[in-house]
Amino acid sequence: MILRILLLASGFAVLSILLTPWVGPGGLSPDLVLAGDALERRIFIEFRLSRTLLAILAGGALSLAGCLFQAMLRNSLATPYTLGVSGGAALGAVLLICLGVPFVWMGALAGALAVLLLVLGFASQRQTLSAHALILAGVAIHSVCSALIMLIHNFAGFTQAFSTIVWLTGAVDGISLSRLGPLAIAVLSVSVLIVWQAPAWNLLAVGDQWAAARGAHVRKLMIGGYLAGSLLTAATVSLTGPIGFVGLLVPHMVRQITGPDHRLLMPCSLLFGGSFLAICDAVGRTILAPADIPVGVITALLGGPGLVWILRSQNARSA
Amino acid sequence: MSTLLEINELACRRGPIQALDGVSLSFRKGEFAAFAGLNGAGKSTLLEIMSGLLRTYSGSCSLEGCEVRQIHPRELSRRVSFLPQLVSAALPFLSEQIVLMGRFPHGDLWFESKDDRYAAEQAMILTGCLEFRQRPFDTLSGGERQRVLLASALSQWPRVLLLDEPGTFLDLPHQVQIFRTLRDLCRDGLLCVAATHDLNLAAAYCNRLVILDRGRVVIDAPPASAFDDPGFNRIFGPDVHATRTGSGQPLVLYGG
Repeated sequence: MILRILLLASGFAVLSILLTPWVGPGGLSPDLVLAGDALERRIFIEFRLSRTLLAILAGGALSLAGCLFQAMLRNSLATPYTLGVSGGAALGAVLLICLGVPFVWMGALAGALAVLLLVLGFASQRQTLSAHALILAGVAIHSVCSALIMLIHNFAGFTQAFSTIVWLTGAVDGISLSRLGPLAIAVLSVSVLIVWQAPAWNLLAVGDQWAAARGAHVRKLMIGGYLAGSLLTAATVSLTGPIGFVGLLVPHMVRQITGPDHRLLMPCSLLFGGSFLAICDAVGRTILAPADIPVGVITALLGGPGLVWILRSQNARSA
Repeated sequence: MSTLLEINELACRRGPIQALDGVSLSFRKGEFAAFAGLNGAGKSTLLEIMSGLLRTYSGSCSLEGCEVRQIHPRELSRRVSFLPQLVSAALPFLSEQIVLMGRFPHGDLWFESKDDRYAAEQAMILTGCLEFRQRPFDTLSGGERQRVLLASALSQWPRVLLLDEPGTFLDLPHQVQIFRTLRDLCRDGLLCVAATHDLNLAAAYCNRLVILDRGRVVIDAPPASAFDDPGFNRIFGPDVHATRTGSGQPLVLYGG
């Protein structure tokens, strides 16, 4: 059973890597690409394949981070953005956009890391690190960052204000392999560390005292989990902008099939989240072609009904 | 028999409150002790220190000669199992999964061994919850949950079992059943300490009653003599009467 689910999720991920690059406006000819036509091949790799790979990595990372935070905070509405990193990333990105500096992703990454250090500094001052304190810190950081973003937005020129909105929507675009490589390494290595600790996340999902009484080092887990989930989020958001709802919806969808055991839930969320975002992106660039709808719009559109569905399934369970 | 758990001049502040103020107790294998006392008397704090969860205290609390807070958490929880007061799973874990979590300190983290499955099953049989092993924990009634949680604590194979109000939410037959199970386990050599408000259950099944008041041990005796102690009424007030049944069993009656 477990093996079947894992195989299914992996198969799904592989299929979406193989198939979604072919979907999109201005149909690529598989024959020409496979035959080695230089131009077609370049278009395929630089625009389609890299875009699919970015979507896979981003979707997987956000889903896993959401799954992790939902366990750590014991709150099924937690997302990768609940703890504030995305706020820092957005602030950094918007600042660079409005200053007209080209390397926006560096600003986003710097902003996210600044938030990370701030929260860790706050955490190191305290004996225990409760879910409550983390959420509070996240909400506080978010509101400060969005206030500053609105302030900057106010002073920005028309073009920059527009670019800001585009960035904040969240989208995956074709990116160079030299940036995709580091992202892949970061996402995969951090993901392995998170999934490795799955039995401990199971304990934490029941309670702090519960976990501690079974020999888990709660403080270390909370700080480690915060760090790992935030790094995943920061690395992703710096390249795609804050794509919404993936990190909330996917863990819930997967949980319907796998149940809440993180040993199965986490790897499946990682795999399925990737496929999910790749498919959403393929839909986004096809549905109103030649217009290319950012994937953040697609996920947000799915997000509303998705939330209702989550609520309904929870009611059905408790009824 | 040798001392298993030794508490000496234990003091602990929680915020502005002196939760424990010079507590000294020692426990041997096979004892079934109850902590009683009013709300805020320090029962939970004492259990948390004994289970290694609360590490900011003065004085000492040692398990088999080692200071509890210096034992590695994983190692400690192979010997001491603690059942917190309020446990509610936010995610829809199955009862069996909750019970298997008790095997965390024993396993290799990722794959359950035959031992793990056996321990979980035995614990579920003992507490009478095997029949709902496949049901989601959050759909169980309060009493059913409590039995699953107790099974989880037992599957940890502890030498010391600490429980914070194990009878909460249980119907009377199940309260009795749990306490009888605990008593039988203690006869086989387990040390069990339970905080409880139910003095009658404690009197019927425990062989030691420790009554705390504002962070101090006021009475520490077998239940029958604890009820006769002049301090008893001072703590519980005039509406709680200690008496005996015809067969001489200590009993608490309520009423003015």
